[in-house]
Amino acid sequence: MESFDAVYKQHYQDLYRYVYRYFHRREPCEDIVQETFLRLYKQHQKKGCIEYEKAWLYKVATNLSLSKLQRSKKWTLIQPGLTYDTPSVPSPDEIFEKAESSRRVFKVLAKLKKRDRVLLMLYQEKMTYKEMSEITGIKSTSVGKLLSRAFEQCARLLEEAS
Amino acid sequence: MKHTPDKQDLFDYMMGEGDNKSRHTIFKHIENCSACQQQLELLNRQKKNIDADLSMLNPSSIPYNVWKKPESVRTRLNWMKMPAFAVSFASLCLIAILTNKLTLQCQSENSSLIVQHDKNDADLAGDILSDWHEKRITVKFVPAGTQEVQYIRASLASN
Repeated sequence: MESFDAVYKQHYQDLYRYVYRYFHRREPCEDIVQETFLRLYKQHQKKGCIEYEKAWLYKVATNLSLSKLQRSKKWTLIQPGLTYDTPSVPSPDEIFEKAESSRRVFKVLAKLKKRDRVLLMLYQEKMTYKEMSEITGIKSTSVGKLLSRAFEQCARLLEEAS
Repeated sequence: MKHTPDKQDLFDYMMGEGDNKSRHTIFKHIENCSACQQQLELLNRQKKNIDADLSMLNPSSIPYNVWKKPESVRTRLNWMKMPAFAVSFASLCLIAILTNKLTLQCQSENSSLIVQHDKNDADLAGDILSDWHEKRITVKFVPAGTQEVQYIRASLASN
């Protein structure tokens, strides 16, 4: 499975970063990224290569993340900041400050519509409108309009929160 | 007439969308339109703030090549363990109920109340002062024809 290895190496980190933003916790993120690649592996075995793997991976990861969020809604609002992920050892003030900021952003994102949140996350991954459309199933002609609205609302909420 | 910038076109332009021709047209227009320049500046500022805020959610490190037991397998195992857990919990409850019942039965069979007094004319319709911690009760009464308050002690004893 040479192609699977190549896809894994190419997309693992980006996909991990993308999923991490939904949960801000390591464990569910690792589970979802792994599950996504397992599904890709099974797909490779069944049908061979997928035409547009990047979009496929993000689509599966988005669906898995959203359904997990729906199942454990309470946790997603409480957890961020409490289990802040720090490999190096920053000062307690830095940890606290960053945890507070990320908690604020996380709360703002939680207030947005599910569709808007997904679009913003995909924008962060530098996806084009076409790719966003492929992943979310939204018409490519509507993606720009919806993204600009999500942008406006997110900016307003962030301003209010700060 | 004052020109009103098309927000959506500018947003798409900022996002790098559209073909080269349309992008070039917008670029040329912005060069000569202060209203569009201001709007684009506002959008860029908004974008910069959102980028900075959303980057807070990035992980500080990304583990690589970490494979765990898939979540679906873990869930299946949990379901397999569920009946064993339910059975052990139910038996624990049963043991607790039986122990409680047996203890109560033993207590009622082995203990009785003995009242020791020799005052037949006592008016026992007095106050009963009980002290269960000391396993003793005291009956306060007034004998007929007197005003004197007297007490009878009764103790709890095993058979």
